[in-house]
Amino acid sequence: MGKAERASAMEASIKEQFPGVATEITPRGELVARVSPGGYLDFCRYLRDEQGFKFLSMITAVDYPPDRFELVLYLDAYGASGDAPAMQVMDTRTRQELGPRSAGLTTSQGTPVMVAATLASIIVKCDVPHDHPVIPSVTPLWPTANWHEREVYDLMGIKFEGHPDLRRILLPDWFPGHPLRKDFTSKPALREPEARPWPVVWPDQKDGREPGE
Amino acid sequence: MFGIPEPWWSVVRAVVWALFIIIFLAVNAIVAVWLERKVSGKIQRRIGPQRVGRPIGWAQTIADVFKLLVKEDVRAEATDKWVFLLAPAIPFAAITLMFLVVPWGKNLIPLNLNIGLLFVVAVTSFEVLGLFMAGWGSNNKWALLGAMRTAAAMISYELPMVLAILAVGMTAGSLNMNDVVNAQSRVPFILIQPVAFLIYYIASLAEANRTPFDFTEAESELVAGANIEYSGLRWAFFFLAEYGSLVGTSAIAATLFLGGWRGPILPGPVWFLIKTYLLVYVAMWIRWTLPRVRIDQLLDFGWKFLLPLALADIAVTGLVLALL
Amino acid sequence: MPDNLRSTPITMPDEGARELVVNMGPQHPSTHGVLRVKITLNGETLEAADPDIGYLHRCFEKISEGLTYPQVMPYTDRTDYVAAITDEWAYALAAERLLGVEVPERAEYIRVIMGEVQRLLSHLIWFGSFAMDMGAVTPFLYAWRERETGYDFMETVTGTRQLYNFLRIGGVRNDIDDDGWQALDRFLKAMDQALIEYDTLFTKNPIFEVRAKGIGPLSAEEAIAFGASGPVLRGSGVARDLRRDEPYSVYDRLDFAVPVGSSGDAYDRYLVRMLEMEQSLRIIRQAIKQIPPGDIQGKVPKAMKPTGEAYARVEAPKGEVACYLVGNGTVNPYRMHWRSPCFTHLQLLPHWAPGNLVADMVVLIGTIDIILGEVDR
Repeated sequence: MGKAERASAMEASIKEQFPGVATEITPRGELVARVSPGGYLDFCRYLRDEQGFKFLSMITAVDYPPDRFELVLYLDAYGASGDAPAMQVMDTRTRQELGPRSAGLTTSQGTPVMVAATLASIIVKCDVPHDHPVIPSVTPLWPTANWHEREVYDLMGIKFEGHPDLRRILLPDWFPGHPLRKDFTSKPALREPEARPWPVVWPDQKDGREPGE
Repeated sequence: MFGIPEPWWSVVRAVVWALFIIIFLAVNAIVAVWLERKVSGKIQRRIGPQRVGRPIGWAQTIADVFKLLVKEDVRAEATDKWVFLLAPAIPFAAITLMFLVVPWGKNLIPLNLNIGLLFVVAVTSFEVLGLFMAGWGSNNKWALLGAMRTAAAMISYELPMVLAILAVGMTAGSLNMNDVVNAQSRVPFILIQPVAFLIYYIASLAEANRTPFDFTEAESELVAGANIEYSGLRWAFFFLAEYGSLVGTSAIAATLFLGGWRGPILPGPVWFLIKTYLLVYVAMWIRWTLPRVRIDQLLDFGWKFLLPLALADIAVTGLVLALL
Repeated sequence: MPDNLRSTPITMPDEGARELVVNMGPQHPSTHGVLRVKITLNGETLEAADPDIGYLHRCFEKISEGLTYPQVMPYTDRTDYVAAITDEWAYALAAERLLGVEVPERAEYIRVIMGEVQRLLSHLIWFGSFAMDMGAVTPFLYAWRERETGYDFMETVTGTRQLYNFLRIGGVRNDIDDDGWQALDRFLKAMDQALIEYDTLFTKNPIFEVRAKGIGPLSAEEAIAFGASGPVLRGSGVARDLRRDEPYSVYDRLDFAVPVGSSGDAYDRYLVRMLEMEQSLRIIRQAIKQIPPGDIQGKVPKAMKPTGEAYARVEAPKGEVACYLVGNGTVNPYRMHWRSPCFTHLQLLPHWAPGNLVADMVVLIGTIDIILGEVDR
């Protein structure tokens, strides 16, 4: 079964289980699924458990003012298949080539070599409304989502319910605003203190006034 | 002697030896640091100091000492004042005392103690105190970590070192350093007690905080460990003590295992210096080749391998001496 | 300092607690950049490690929304600054997919050669720093010596030593001339010798083996769940390489092996990277034989105003670097997201830390092969 057939089969089973999810297939053979915030967590759980999407590549968000953010996830399902690209596997300890990648290959230490060809890729999109930017966190499903969601929270302001440790990651805690939003600009001349989105404290001032005030 | 009445002669002699040892240690620090930089340069395919004191850069360390002398003596307010200020003096004092019983030539020994070997052991063990005071007095968590590791390492490696020295004492039949050198008139002890030599040398690298045992200044982990908060001349004292410890333990090793000042043609002190600096060079070679051992692996190695080996060595020495 | 200016909440342990909270970084010789790790220690044992990043955040994604598509290229260099070509490649692939541009064969081969040289240079820095963190300073100096030869090649071809702006959407900026081929030859010869030397000096050292074996274990399932890619994933026994599994450029015509580890510890990841260096040499030599004459720049529309989305991934030395590009028909990208492997891998640090010693912290940071430019963007 080739990649295109797998994608179609997957699309069919998704339509069966989740009729409200709009799907399409990109020219490169990736599946795109649009979910509502209500069905998001269940759909993700279905993808991980039933369809084998165990690898989360990234979570990001795109701002479409005035009404929505689009949360984008990119997932991969790994596994062995007939059309997996050929790969010569080399063992690190013995530095010998073990042979072509196939299920059942083991290293010199006896551990199995996992064949992780891309069986399918899916882009999950979810529209998060601007006025209530809250969505369940998928960290319980994919531990790697932890920091990706923190970054989306930090830069876009989308809150993730159920996240174990939702705090800013790249910007300082006191930073006002979420910079990647389209309405956050630094266009006004930064000389005007009111235009600066962060408090300014000069070393010899104790309360944030400009020097000379 | 020399027409000076007895009590004054002893005083003059003591003062001259004391000055000589202190000056020797200062000059040694300059030479050893220069040697280290040149040796590390050659090993790392670069040249090392070459401008200050062309063409070999011999004046580099002297210039560095001048720089350190004019640096501000910074002391953070929250440090424990007297502990912090006195800490650098202690390792230096320990090393200076160590040189009191090292024979430089026939009858050229500052203090001819009958318990010379024991004295060496006693005096090197309070170097740790200085480093620990530095770590504690700095009021800095990283310094404290470094000091604790160093204390653990140095204490652990003292036992094998003492046992190795004991083996030499047993072989020579005396604890007097002069007797030990004289007992090597035919064959240096390194050939009779090779295991003791290896144990002593490895333990001395640990005592001198050299890689692979250099946690005190594990730059990549603790950023200088116990010495973090020191600057200027106080910091220089720690380095004086480190290189002094290196040359001191090498000097002891040369005396105990390589025959001290013995050797044909050249005068005694010259042979002594050659042998000492040969061991110093090997220590530097080891430093720039090997990575650093982790503290728990170091303690394992010291307690579970070196100590039983040293005990076995003593047992075998005793057996052989009893049978002969 | 006013409370609202604290960048992360400081939690002090209670009086008499046995734990010590120490701050490692942001200025530290071993964190390879401005990384701050808050470590909770119980004696010498780590109980928790909380990385604090963002010191090198330069608003790359926001800035690219104000640039035209070709103008974004120099910024991509500065994410992973030691392996700039592969990062440029991710962006170039994404833009080319959006615009529907074809890259001529000669340009693809040049990209492969430059990319694999970058892999060598990146792994050399990683090797030198990894050894130096463990106390062996000499391999660091040796690695930099080889990097100098590599820099000579990069400078001859691109004009700069480290941040190249060499790839273009649709091709590369210039061809490799005779001086370049000679410099490449010198570099390959130097690397052949060097890899043998590193093996003798460092890989076979028993102290190194003891320090690296068993540190930072990662099973295959854990690795995938934590989003690991590149050497971190392959060290755990997972056979996946984007050059084979998501083929791009002309890698399907090149023959190379993919080293895969057995136990997923720092030692295996180290060996994976060392063996990858040998395989890179093999790839470069094949590319030199196979490279056809031709153009180095494909046809690109004069006004680049694409619509649509593209997600392009490349096998960078650090792992899977991906670029998510959204175009809305204007000259500026509507949204550009940079997926960085070091950012994803740094999450492994809190996972690994408990139970290890302080001395292992530097080994853990080194085994991820972290570059803060990529983590913070």
